[in-house]
Order: sequence, then C-alpha cells, then structure tokens
Amino acid sequence: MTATDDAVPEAPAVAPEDAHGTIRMEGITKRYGALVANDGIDFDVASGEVHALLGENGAGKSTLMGIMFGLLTPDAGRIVHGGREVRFASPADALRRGIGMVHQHFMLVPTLTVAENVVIGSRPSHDMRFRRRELEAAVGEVAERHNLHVDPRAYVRDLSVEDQQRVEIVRLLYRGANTLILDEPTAALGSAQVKVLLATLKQLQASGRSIVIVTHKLDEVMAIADRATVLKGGRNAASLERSAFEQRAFTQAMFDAMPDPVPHERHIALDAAPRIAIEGLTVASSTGRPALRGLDLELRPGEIVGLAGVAGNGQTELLDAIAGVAHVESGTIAVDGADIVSQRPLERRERGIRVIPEDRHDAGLVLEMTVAENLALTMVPAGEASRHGLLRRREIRAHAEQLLERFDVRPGDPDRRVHELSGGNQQKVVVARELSGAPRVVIASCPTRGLDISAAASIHRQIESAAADGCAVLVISPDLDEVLALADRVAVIFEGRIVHDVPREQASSEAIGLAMVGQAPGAAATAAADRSATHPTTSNG
Amino acid sequence: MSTTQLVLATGITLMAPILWAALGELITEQSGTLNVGIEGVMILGAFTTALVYQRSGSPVLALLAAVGSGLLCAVMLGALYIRRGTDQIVTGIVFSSAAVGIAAVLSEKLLSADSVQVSSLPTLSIPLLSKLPWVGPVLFEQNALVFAALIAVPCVWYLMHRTWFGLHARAAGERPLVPETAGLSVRGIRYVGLALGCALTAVGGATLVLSVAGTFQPGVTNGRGFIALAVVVLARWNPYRAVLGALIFGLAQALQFQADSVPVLADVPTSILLMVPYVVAVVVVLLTHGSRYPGAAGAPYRPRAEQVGF
Amino acid sequence: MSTATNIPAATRFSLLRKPAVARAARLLLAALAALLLVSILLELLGADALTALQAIVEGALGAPFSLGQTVMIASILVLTGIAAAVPFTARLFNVGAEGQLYAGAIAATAVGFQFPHLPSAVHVPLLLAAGIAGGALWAAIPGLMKAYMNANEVIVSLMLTFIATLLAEYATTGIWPSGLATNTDPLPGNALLPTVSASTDITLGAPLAVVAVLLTWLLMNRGTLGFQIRATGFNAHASELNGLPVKRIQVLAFTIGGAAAGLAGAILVAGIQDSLIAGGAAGFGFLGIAVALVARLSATWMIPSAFLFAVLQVGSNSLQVKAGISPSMGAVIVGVFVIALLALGAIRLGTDGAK
Repeated sequence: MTATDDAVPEAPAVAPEDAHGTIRMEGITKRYGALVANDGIDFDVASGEVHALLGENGAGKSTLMGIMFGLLTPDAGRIVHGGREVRFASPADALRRGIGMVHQHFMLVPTLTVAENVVIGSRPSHDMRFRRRELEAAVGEVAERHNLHVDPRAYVRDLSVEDQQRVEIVRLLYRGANTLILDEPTAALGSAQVKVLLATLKQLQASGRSIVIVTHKLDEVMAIADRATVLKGGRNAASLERSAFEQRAFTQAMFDAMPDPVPHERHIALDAAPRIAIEGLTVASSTGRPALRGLDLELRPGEIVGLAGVAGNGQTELLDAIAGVAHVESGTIAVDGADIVSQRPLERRERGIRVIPEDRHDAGLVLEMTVAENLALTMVPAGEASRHGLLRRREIRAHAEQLLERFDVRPGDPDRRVHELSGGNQQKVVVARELSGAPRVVIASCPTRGLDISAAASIHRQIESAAADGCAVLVISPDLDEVLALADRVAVIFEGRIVHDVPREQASSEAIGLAMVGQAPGAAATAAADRSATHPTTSNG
Repeated sequence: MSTTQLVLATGITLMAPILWAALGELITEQSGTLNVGIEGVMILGAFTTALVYQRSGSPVLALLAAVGSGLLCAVMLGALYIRRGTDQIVTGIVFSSAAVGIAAVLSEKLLSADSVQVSSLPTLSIPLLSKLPWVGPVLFEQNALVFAALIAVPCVWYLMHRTWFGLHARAAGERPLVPETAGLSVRGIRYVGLALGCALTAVGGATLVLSVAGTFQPGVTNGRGFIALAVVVLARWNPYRAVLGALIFGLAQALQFQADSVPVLADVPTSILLMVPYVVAVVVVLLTHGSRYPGAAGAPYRPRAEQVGF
Repeated sequence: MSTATNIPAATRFSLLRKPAVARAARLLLAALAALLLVSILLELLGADALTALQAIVEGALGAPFSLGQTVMIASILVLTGIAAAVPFTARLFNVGAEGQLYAGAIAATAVGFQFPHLPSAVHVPLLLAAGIAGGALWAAIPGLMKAYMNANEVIVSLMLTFIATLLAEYATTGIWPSGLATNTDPLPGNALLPTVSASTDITLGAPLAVVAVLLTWLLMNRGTLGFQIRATGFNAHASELNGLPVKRIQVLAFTIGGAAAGLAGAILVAGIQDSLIAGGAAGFGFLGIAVALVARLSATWMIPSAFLFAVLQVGSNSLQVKAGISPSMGAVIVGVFVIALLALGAIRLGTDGAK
C-alpha cells in the first residue's frame, strides 16, 4: 500500500481552532509504583485530523490513550477540551464529551446482538422498555450513514473480527463521538480488510471527526495520517508532519540504535541436524482466527535465535504449541528428528523441551508455593523427586539450594514462598527451573521483562551458557535490544509467519524494525537462502 | 381422571415451586451472581408463608410476606456476594444450611404444632378450557400460584430481553467491564438481579406451602432449590425452556404420589421413586455439560475505581 | 481474588501486621460477632442466651458420656472436613460429603451383614475398607464428570447426596429391614469397632480419625499427589505447562475426599450408631465444609476445628430441655459463625491450601 495524498481531504468546515474539536493533553504523567509509564507527555488532536501514535511495546501509548478516554486518571498534567480544562472520571464521562475508544480487545458482549451492544448504557430517562425494533433501526441508520455495513440483529459472537470492529465504531458514532481512538485497529485484520478500514477512517475524517490511530505499522501511518507522534520510554520522541513522513525517521525514533555485535564464543554445531525443526505450523488463536499460518523455523544445537516481532503476531501461540498446550491444526514440530506434535506436555519436557512463558504469574509459577516447590514443579509428575509416592524433600531442597546459588536468586531461601520474591528473582526461579537438567530446546518469551539491568544480564548469561552446552534457544521478545544482545540469528515474526531471518552480523535494526511493522525487506524464502549461505561465518573461537 | 392424567396434573402442580425458583435463579445468574443460597431463600420463603398464613389467614398477605423474606435474604446475600466478594459457592451452601436450621428453630417456636396445617389454595378452573376433554382437568384445573408461575415465564423473558434492565443485566453477567465503561454500576445491576431472583425463589417457597405441601415442616424444600440450579442449566438460561425442565422434575416427583395407581410402579419402593428427580438432575447436568454459564457468573466484580493499577 | 482487599483498620497496629496474629484477631472478631448475633436471636426467641450457651457447653462436655459422644462426632467431622478440604485445595467444590458418607455407611453395613461369622480382626478392617471404597466411588462420579465433561460439580455432588440419603432410607426398609422403619437391626458384634474407653463409649473410630489426619497431612505435605493437588488448585495453567496431568489429579482429589467421607460412614454405623440409620448422618457432611473452612483446609487444624463444631452439634441437643429451643439452633450457630468469618475475610479460598 502506498500513501495516496490526493485522497486525504482538506479539513472540513470545522476550523482547527474550533473550541469543541481540539483536545490538548499537556505534561501528562502516570506512574505505577516505581514505573513511570507516561513522563510529561504532550499530545494533541486537532479537529478533523488523523493523528498516528507510534511506539514500541511499553512506550506508554496505552496509558496515554487510557487517560484520554477516561479509563485512567493522570498523576500530573492536564487535558484541555473545547478551551477548558476537563477531568474524566470514567470512559462514560469522556464519551459524553465526544471521545471514545475502539479497544484492541473489543469491549463487546458476545452473547448480545449488535444493536444491543451499541446501545448499552444509553437508556433514555423514564423509559424502562427496550424498544428493540426502533433501536435496531436507529443503529442500522447510523451504520449505513457511515457505510459501515453490519446487521444490527446479528449476534456479536457470530461476527468476524472486522465486523466486530465495525460494531465498535458504530457504537462510538451512535453515542455521538467526534474523536475516535483506535488501538492497533489492524492488528487482527488481513490486508484486504485493512484497506476497507482505512477507507472507512478517511470517510469519518471527511465527515469532520478526529481520529487517533495507535499502531506499529508504518504503511498505515503513511496511508492516512496527517500527523504522527512517536513515544519512547514514556516520553515524546518525535512529532512529524505529513511532509516529514519517512520510514527512517520513524524507525530511528521508535527503536534505539543497534548495539555493536558483541563478539562471543559460539558453539553452534553447523553440520548437525537441526535440534528443532518447525514446518508449516498452523495454530488457531482463542478468537478462532489463525494465529500461526504455516510457520517454518529451524534451530541448530547451540544456536540462539532471537524472534523479534510486535506482540500479538503469534508469539504466544508458538510457545504454547511447542510446550504442548495449544491445539495444532497442521504442521510438524520435530525435535532431533522426531515429531512431538502428538505428545503430552510431560513427555515433551522429558525430551528436553523447556519454556519460559511470557507471564510468569499466570503461566510460569505457582506463587503460593515455595521456591523449592516451584523448582521441583516439573520433577514431581516425572517421578524424579519422589520415592514410594512421597516427596524426597531433602533432595528437592538440595536441588533448590544448588539452583538458587547457580542462578543467583535472592534471598537464597528455598522455603520462601515465591510471591514474597521480587519480580526479578521470581523470573530467575523460572529460568533456573527451565534451564536446569539438560534442556535441549528452550523457548524463552520476554525472559527479562520488567527486570533491572543486573538481573537481566544474569539471565542472559544463563541462556548463553545453556546454548554453550548444545541447547537450541529461541528468545521471543518485542525488545530489539534483548534479541540483538543474545542472538546468533534474528528472525522476525509477523502475522503468524517468519518474514525475515538473518544472521546477527547481517542484522540491521532498520530492516528488523521495518519487518516488525510489516515491511519485510525480502521474502522469507530469500531469507532462508541467506541463512544457509551465511552460517559458516559463525565459528568456534 | 385416568392415571396418566393424574400423574400429569400432579406433575404440573409440583412443577410450580421449582419453576418459580428457577426463574428467579435465571435472573440472578444472568446478571452475574451464582446463588447457591437458593435453597435457604426458598425454605425461609416457605416458613414465612406458613407463619403469616397461620396468623392472618390470608394467602395474599402470606405471599407478600414471603416476597419480603426473599428481599431480606437478598440484602444479606448481596452484602456477602456482591459487596464483600466472598466465594459464592461456599457462602451459598453455608447460608442454605443455616437457613434450614433457622427455619426449623423458628417453626418449632412460632408455628404451634396443631395448627401448622395450612389449607391449600383453592383449585381454579379456567372456564371453557377446563371442560376440554382429557387435557382440561390436567392443565386448567390448578391453583392460582401454578397459573401465576406460567404467566411469570413470559414476564421474565420480557424483563431480560425487552427492558433496559434485562439488557444491562445480561451485559453485567457476561462481560461486566462493558457496562461499567458505558457508565453503569455493575454492582447495582447485580443487586437488583439478586433481589428479583430471591423474591421469585421465595414465592416458590410460598407455592410449596400453599399449593403442594399444605403445611410447613423443617426440610420441606428437600433440595428443590438446588434442583432449580440444575433446571437453569438445562434451560440454558431461557425461561421457556425452564418450564420444560421444571416439568420434568415435577413429573419425576409426581411418580411417588401416584405410584399406587401405576401398575409398573406399585412395587417400586418409595425411596427409590423419590430418587428419580435427583437422578434426572444428574443426567440433565451430564447431558447439558456443554451449556455455558454466563461469562462472569460466580465471579465477584470489583469496579475499576477500586482496582489497583491497570 | 486479590489478597489486598478487606484488611480491617486494625491491621494498622504493628502487632496485627503479622499474618498469624491478624488471622487470630479476625477469628476472634468473627466468633464475637457470631456470639452476639446468636445471643440476640436466642433472646428474641424468648430464651435466656446465657443459659442456652451454657447448656450447649455442658451438654457437650459436662458428663463422661456426652464428652465421649462429642469426641466421636468430632471424629466424623474430622473426616468430612477432609472430604471437603482435599478437593477444595484443588479448587473443586465437593459439597457432597454427606452423600459420600452415606455411600460408605451402606457399603460398610453390607459387609457387616454379609459375613456374620468372620472374626473381628478380619471383619472390622474389611468393613472399614468397604466404607472407604463406597465413599470414594460415590465421589469419583462428580470428579470424573467435572474433569472430563466440565459438568458442574456443585450440582452433581449435591444431587448425589440426595440420592445416597434415599438409598440409605431404602437400605433400612428394603434391604435390611428391621421392625423399625428408620434403622436396620444392629450389626453383628464382631463387625463393630472395638471400644477404646468403656466409660465414654469412645471406639476405634476416634483413633482412626487421628490416623486419617496424619495420613492426609502426609499426603498433602509430603506426598507427590498432594503436591500436585496443591499446584493444580493454585494455578492450573502453570501446572499444565509443567507437565502435571491436571484432569487426573482433579479426579483423584475428589476420590480421596470421598474416601474420607466413606470412612466416616463406616465409623458412624459400626462405631457410633451400631446400625444403619436413615438420616443418621444428620448434616455431618455439610458440617464438614464449615470444619474445613475454619481449619483453612489444613489437616492439622482439622481436629480443633472439628471439635469446636462437635461441641456445638452435641451441645445443641440439650437446648430443647434446658432452654426450650430446637436443636437445629446448632446449625444456625455454625452458619452465623462461618458467614461472619467469610464476611470478615478470615477465610479466603484461593490463597489457602491444605498444608
């Protein structure tokens, strides 16, 4: 898709100074404990413009938008709307002033019809009766007026993702919104549907509405935005007018410069057969849409592959599929030549497959149990920590003590409950469990998220030493720094496929950044060819 | 009346208390609360009915008092389920057994033994329809509370599907975040849902006393409240299907009353006949294992404002 | 459920910040609130609250015989408490211990009557084993239905309770009829549990309950299965990712609970009532839920918790004579106490686990 300037209409009748249309956010600051999610951010939306908000995960976009539509209250800073300072106590408040948001995870009730979803909370006073026909007609009328074709009587659970998104937009229009915030609106759409959506947004703009589009994808920004604001680390990083739109300008603002390749010893067995070979892996996501669409990926013994990508492009499903808790529709996962797709999680673990899940609280740890118990979690069902059905507590403890020391977990007390540990030490417990006991394949998702530098560095060292012992490691992370710091090879996942795959030495943050936002520099096939051609450059020092 | 007619007629009479309770629970569950205390609400409704009927002689007053007792239960249960966010299953079970206990204590103290008997409601014959051959006496010669239960069915459907309350309740029971971001009070909606549910359940208790048992004794509900929980699952939260579910249980209970006149059943011991409704309930739950509870039913909801962080 | 909720203002004081002290304070507060409510209720019913409460304590502990009875009822409650606690630890709501108790009682009765000439040393263990098996099988039904078909275990275990209660009724009238409608003839003497203390009528059932507590403690704290039950209950997702067979564990948790309730049934018929009595369980199964909650699902706390509820249960029987109040008042006191605990946040499922 290319930017089509002629299709961007002039701002309609409403002047930019129009008191009602402009929203200005000044010096917005929001903290969560020690974390500063927004640090004095300025942002404004002029009437009738399309304003793109860009930034990496964790750059502060969601927090800023949450404040703008009333879900969150800022710790400092102010919002000026219609020339007056306003405070939103709730999303309903913001909607009354014409500001509404289409969430990435739609705020719809699947068991209700389209019309019912649209009108929730808009009861006219003194009317108890839900006038279904009239409301359906009214909703249908609003939808048609904006060319948003959707059947008001259909149940939301029966609708496709793009139809559900349309319902969300209709809901905001029905409630009189003139500023629409769309959070990653194309994340779940195919390219044809994206075109339709962008056309819709232009139409809405033409009818005088302002639109904020939160996105990672540059071609969308190029296609419709009048202005773009880039956030990084909770602060304003760049603000660009349409005339200054250029890929390089965006990626430089969004991502830090790539660190120099760190020379480190590598132990990749180049001639060896792949330790894990994934072919044509197709997995449905919880919403029923394919999350992985024929993904191919190979890792050799001792190799660390960094998998970069914007969250939500199939990373979670890839981890679940390898761990054995996702339903694989087609494709194979071969470990040392044997397909494991039909094996239960325990069998896979016994084969040496380990996972460090993204969310340690939900999937990694049993917070209420002790450190020693968590470290033994997988040994117990495997019968490694028991005799006659009883736990070998001394061995479990000794095992824990040894791991706590090796992985530098503090406090090194095996009897402490995990929830009493700091986040970094909790993560070290997960890493210790997964990297101990001769792992052959490790899938680590965001292994250092939320950790301080020293904790992150120590986890990186452990991952490297596992690789040195012949383990194949896949590091999944939207954090490019982490990927580049660890990887021998960098792959990029986009919409359930590998779209870019190069050795570390040839990786450029620009190319990776572009691939992450859907602008793959080369087809996956050429990347694969590159890979086989360039591998010999890595050698044992 | 033939035996078949008799079983059917009795079954319909016995259906009514369960149907009332199931309709009530349906509203409560759809608004997002799982009220396992339903058995307790029902028995307190039954006791209140007997008490007020005995003191006043007026079935209407007794019925109103039962509704009042249901609302009182809703206040107590709501404070626990909705305000304090206690575990709904444990709270409900404990409430039920305490309520059975208190009904027993109070009945011994307040209902004098010789006058516990409550004369049943008169049977109403619907003109013309009751003259219909065969079905007339089965369907159209019942007491007022049976007819009222059947009339309540479309009313509950209308409430849940054609009023704003119903819409907001269904949203609160499925995805409470949606009504809350639309500016509604999820807790408020759930209190109303619980109050309506408890009121109807208490009417079920009253029906038990006034039209089925004709008396109050401790344990008179005998698990009917819990059976209503199964009926709601079977009905997949549709009031019309709840009639069918409640009727199955009514008929299963009717067997024991009419066993003597059914040749096949005459030799079956009473205890075994009494088991039939419960066996049916297990089978029903097994057959409808796919039916999905309202998304948020059973989970206490804390408004965003009270939540820490995002 | 968040752990940060509902901390009473009192926790501002430093001593009360210690979890154990704060918990004890809540327990005390709940007990006082329950006492107050119950006293008001008793006064409203025209009884003197002090007399009534005194009657309960004296009725339960005042004489050797009543003390013995309290100990025996406590033994039953320990077991039904375990029946609730083990599945609860796996986050499964077994509210059917009453039915599992009857299933065990019926199985034990069958063995009791079936082999009238076996020597006691063989007969008693066989009878106990039958009781355990009966309860375990009865509990396996909701366990299997929950794990493999996602059927609502609350409804199923409740309905199975009504069925088992009626089966017991049928057993007393149809299978082993005696002259009386509500109970069977006494079991043969060599099927009965030996008496431990003649003056108090305490039988082997009491030490067996203590053994069951020890075994449960061993299972839940030292056993691999208990480890997996706890892990599954706290975080089923993480457990599954770590290779735990979650469904199988759920069935086993239910079955173990049922086995404890079944043992309670066997002790009830062969060690307390000496015959199968319809309605003989008298709510012991449901009371087990309260016992388990107050013990915070912990095996070690099950004994004092059960004893407390046994005092209420046995003592309530003398309310009729002493204060003119129905013995059902016992159930009310239990309910008020447990609800007060829940309302004060002294019991929170999800953070508690059998330990």
